[in-house]
Amino acid sequence: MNVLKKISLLILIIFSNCTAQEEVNALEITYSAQTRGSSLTISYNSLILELKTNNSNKKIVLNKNQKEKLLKEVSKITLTEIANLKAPTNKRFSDGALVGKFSILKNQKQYISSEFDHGNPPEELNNLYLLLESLLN
Amino acid sequence: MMKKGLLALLLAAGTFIGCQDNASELPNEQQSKVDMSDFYLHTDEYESKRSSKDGKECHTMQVLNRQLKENKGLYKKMYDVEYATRKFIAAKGKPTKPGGGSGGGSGSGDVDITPINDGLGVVNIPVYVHVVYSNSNQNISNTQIASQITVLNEDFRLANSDFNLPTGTTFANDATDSEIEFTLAGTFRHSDSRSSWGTNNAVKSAYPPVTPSTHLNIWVAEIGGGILGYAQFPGGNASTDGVVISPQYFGNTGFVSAPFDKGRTATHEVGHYLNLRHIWGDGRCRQDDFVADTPSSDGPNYGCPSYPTTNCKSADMTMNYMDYTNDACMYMFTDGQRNRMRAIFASGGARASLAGN
Repeated sequence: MNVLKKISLLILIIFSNCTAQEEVNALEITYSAQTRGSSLTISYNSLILELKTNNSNKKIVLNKNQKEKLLKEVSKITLTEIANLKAPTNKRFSDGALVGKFSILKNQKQYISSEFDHGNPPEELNNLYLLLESLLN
Repeated sequence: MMKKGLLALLLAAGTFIGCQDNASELPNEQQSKVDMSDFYLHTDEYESKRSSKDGKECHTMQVLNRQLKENKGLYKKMYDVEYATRKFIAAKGKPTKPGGGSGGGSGSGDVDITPINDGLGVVNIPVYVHVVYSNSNQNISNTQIASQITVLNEDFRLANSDFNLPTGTTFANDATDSEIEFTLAGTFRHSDSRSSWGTNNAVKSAYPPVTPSTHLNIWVAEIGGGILGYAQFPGGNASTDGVVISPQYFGNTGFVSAPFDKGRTATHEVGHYLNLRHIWGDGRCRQDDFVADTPSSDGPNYGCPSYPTTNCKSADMTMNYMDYTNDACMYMFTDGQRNRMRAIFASGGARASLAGN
């Protein structure tokens, strides 16, 4: 009985550690777009997807399916490369577009992308951007 | 006893299962921009050419080459010395203004640029304003338009009454009178049902610019999408040349909306039209705005920041028109920006005809 107790305690510790690891390694995504006079942020954290603008706020809770889609999309991206991506257009240089940027936290490492015109991300980030947009609509 | 020890071991193992590399990866710290691409030390090739040519050998370089071979750390040491030297020289900048000057040798990195006398005198730019409106609010008054021309004239000549640097900056001797003025040459008004125009120049296609090579065309039209105004840099298509500003951010009276109600959006956009980049260089610390007397920065400032706001190891010039701060908190161009703007008026320059050149 005593041994059984000890073993089950051990197993409990191992599994709670595993769960703790999963939470610690949770994926966080932030898309921000800013310019003089306006800003927009899309943030994903623990199943909650939120859109914030100057004058609006929208929050939705993703289902497991949607979360899986998001994780899958992120896994396709070479995160160590996103800081070096070239923007397809540069209208933001003369204020013709908000300045867009991704910040992704995965496995406790933070990856920040290079900047690009809001709405026109580099190809490597485009699918993620479109997915976030579709989830919010 | 054995059981307890084993259990403790298993417990410890259990706690560490799945433990992954914890290191968080922060973006690399940016170095200041110093071009070291032409730096070299080894001179084997050079030396052999020299000795065959005139029989002389540069003994010093022979010694250096030998030392470099023997001492692996020497290259880096010499590289660092060169880097620091170039940085110091760059910081000293061009000759300081008579009677003024920063005493650049302080190592603070403050650069003082002399305004170039290009012999053009005051450059007067004639302006055509196109008001494209879908409602009466957007059909802004002549008074509102005149107020914007006034703001442009004040801002470009350091005649703006709100020039007021906080204590402690090194920016006072940078503030410039660019000797560029603006005159309203005509106003065109168009009623149009389109309620927003975007930033793909649709409004310019609908209402083309008038003689854009000799006139600054400004469209006052609702842009939408959170954009206050946008510009076209010199060298672009004549058919889309000019600046677009949304009506409620144009001028400082009438249909204007705080905190962009002091006419500075046009000052900023006309800055782009005259070839200025954003003061942070649209990038990280190393990305330059191609102006020597504006401090390095890695991003825009918004609102009304206090002094000092430090990025890239120096205080940002948040009150410069080419930052993203509120109208009330931007109030200067620098001599370096003046020189850059006026360069395009020179004979052969991208906007020479605007200055009658």
